[in-house]
Amino acid sequence: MVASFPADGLGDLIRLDAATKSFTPRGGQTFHALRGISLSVPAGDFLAVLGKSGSGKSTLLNLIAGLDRPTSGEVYAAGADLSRLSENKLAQWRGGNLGVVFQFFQLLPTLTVAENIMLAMDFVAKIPAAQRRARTRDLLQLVGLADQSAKLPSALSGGQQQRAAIARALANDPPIVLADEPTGNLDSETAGAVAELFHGLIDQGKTLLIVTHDENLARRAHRVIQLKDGAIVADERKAANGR
Amino acid sequence: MNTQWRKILGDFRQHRLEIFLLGVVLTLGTAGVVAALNTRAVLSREIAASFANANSPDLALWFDKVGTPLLDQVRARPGVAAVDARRVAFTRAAAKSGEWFMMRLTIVRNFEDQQLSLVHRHEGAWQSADGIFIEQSGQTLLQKNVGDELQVRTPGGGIARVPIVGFVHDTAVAPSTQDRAIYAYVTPARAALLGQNQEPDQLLVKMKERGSLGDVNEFSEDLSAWLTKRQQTPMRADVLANTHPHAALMSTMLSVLAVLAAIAFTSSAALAAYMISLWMKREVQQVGIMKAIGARFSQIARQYLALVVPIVLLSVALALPIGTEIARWVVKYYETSLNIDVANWSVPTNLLLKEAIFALGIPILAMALPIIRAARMSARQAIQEPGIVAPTGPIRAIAKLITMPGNRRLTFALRNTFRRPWRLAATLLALSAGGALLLTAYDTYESLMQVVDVSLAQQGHDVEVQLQRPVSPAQLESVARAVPDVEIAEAFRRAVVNIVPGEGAPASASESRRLLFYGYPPATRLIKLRLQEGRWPRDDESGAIVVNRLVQSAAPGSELDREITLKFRDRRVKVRVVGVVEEIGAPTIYSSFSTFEAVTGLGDVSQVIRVKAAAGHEQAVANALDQALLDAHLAPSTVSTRHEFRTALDEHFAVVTAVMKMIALAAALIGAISLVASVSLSVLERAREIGVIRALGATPRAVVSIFLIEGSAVAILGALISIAASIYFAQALNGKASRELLHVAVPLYVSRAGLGVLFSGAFVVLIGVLLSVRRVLRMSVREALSYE
Repeated sequence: MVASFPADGLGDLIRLDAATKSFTPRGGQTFHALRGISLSVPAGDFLAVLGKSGSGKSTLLNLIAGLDRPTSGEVYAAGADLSRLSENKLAQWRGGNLGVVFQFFQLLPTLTVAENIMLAMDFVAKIPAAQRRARTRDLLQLVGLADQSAKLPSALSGGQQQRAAIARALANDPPIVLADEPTGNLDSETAGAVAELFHGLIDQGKTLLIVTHDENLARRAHRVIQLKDGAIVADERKAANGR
Repeated sequence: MNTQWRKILGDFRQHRLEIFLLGVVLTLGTAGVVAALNTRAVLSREIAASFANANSPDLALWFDKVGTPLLDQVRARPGVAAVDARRVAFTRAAAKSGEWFMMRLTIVRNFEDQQLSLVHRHEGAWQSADGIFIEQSGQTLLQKNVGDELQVRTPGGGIARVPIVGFVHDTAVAPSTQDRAIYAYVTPARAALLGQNQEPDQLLVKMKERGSLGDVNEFSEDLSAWLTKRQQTPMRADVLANTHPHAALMSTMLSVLAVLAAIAFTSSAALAAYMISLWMKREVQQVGIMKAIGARFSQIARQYLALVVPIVLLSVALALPIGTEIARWVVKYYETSLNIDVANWSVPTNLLLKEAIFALGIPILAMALPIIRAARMSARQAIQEPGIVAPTGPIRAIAKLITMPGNRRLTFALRNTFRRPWRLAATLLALSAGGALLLTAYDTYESLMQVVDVSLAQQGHDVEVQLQRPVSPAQLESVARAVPDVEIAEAFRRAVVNIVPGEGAPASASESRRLLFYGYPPATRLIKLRLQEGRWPRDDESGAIVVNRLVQSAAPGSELDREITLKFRDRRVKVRVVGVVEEIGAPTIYSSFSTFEAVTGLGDVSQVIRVKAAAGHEQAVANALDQALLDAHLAPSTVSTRHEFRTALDEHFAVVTAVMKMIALAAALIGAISLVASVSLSVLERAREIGVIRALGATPRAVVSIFLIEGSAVAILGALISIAASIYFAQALNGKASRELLHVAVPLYVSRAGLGVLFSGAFVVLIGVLLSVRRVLRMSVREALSYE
């Protein structure tokens, strides 16, 4: 069982309390990637994280995803204090509560599109085995790749691969979806299509955090935070419908 | 410092573990090849030289007595290079443990003036001491030293005590440990004290030019005829093979060494190329960057070759002396186990040169190919997105062929195993070469011992005693049956014959070497040899014989239903081959008593008793029978048991299988290192992929299980290839042993012990895989995702 944090009145799905992350390379100086970040994200929110290279955007995403641990402070997400979970528990938590979309797709090259999605379900075992194939079909339908299910990733275009990666991120029906520069490797037309997909996820009740340089994508977010030198320098909430 | 050199040194620091592994693999592989080739070169020269030092005779003629006038006459004959005279007696000697061994006692007229069949001492001059010299390999059996007293049986059945005055080396005999016999040498005076006839009865002759066996036969006949004209007819004339008794064994062993050298070298070079190929895969992005900033193909190739070439040079510099030292150790081992003298330990210079050229050239060439391939890539190709590296092999075909329904983890792991076919092939080559060698060594040894056991089971008797003089069969059997735990005792007849060319045979046909001839009693229960062709003669049938395959090999023309002529002393009798058997041992002819008598004319006397003992009492019966015969004044010359025969054969085979196992273990080690190295590097290469899987929710245990499946798949494939290859090699070696050594069919026996060692090795390899994966799992997922 994953430990849950005390419910608060705001129903925050994600919360960081004075989280810092520092790196000390061997023989080098300590670099502070994040400095005392405090952040709350309610369920159903669409948050865009902006900032220049080295501002700490990806580090922030990694902490929330449990891909890295804070040097100090606390990180809560989907009912778990991530800093207290063991590696095994983190993996289980991640599989059931989080979907991650990478900039470079990171599909497993020796598995077909459908197999990539089902492998994610196999690891977590949250979706009953008998339902996995049907769910995969539905997800591929959702992202417009129903006719590409038996193909290997190398046979798909960049846009198709990213859509497949989004379908994989949704495999275990996670409440949170994190995306690190999801359109960074796509042309503008394809990026637009992917952005539409992400917006559709919000309509499904997902909480979405995206690190991006794509202004079109950022414009659709409910809230935009700006990082600079590891700290939040701007936090702007837009209208309820971010379009 | 030049910036290119800085990059080279930086790469060296960053990849020191891989460089170290590469160096170890190259050094081990090259050292193994150098060891095998050097051993082969020294042994093939020294085996021949050692035997030549014995100055073995070409002919042996028997007389009542060989005196100086006869020696002078024969020495003066044209074509004769040297003559000598001696006498050989067979008796028994007691070891320190109390066990009695057969002893071949050679009576040497003058140790300081030996002409033929030379024995020599490594230390000390010949002394006129009154005692017995023992062939050095007999010390292991006797467990006695110079100055100790040796108990020796006399022809009358008594025991004489004689001091051991020295150990000598007779390079014309096999080691005592293999033949389970003591070779001893005494002066005529000492022989008389041991109850032996001191007068030489053998005239040994060495020809100036030996020629073929036919030439020697012709020479022998001419000499015998010439002596007959001078009223000096030899009782018997034997043409001697003039090769070491284990020449065939040694030849097999040398062939094995050559094959092993080739395999070890191939797998080492393949492994080195594979490791560099892995390395260059990871360097490709840097190559692209260097090209983007202006580096040319030749500059990039030179840069990586500058890193690789010193490794090869250092490996060869280490491997040559290591391999030479290993070779020296192996030659020393064979110096004892083959009972040879190694006078010259040097390796031919041209061989060393060839080894150095191959050891340098082939790995450099093999490693240069992936470096050149990477350096030729365009900058655009080389600077690829840092995503998961897509496989370049026939992945579509693999994806179609490998699908485990309902188990995507297994599907994923198995497809990953095959995603880089060339890399897999190189790993399997290195891995399965070692496994095949290991299994071949075990399979060959156990196949040979299985055949020995089957052959021994067909013998029917457990103990055979040969007497110094023939006696009444009834008396012999009566003494034997009175010994406790003797179940069956039968007196056989025994003689030594030759097969000679019959009338009408071509002029080039020659007399065969000496063959054993056994006459068995009517209704014998002690011959259970399975007929391969034909039938056993009836008890009342005269002129019919059964031969074993060794006879057919020694005397072509002795096929089933053929008439041949047996020669015993001055008698020549025609007989017909009615049956053929297979057995391990000496070339032997079997017949009923009536045929035996027709050939030999020896009468109703026996010199051999064969006995079947109660189960588990074989040695006790042998000892008791020996004593009973002595008590009855029927002095035995040899007492041999089935167990001793098996032990002797085991020692013989060890000559070949020992070196095979040594090299096989080394090759298996290289194979295991190759798999662990390749998995380690492959795991590092796929660190980002591991990060993605963990990001999807895979626990560390799930990640480990994927890589264990991959490692297991490669280990199992390697094991299957090893098994298949070992079956081929073992069958080839068994065939060679069958044709050249044993002259019986040697069916393949797959060794369970060998399979056990192979799969244990696979298990150890999986431990290595586990340790490699755990190293990557120590990274955080973030570190893994950003790994390049």
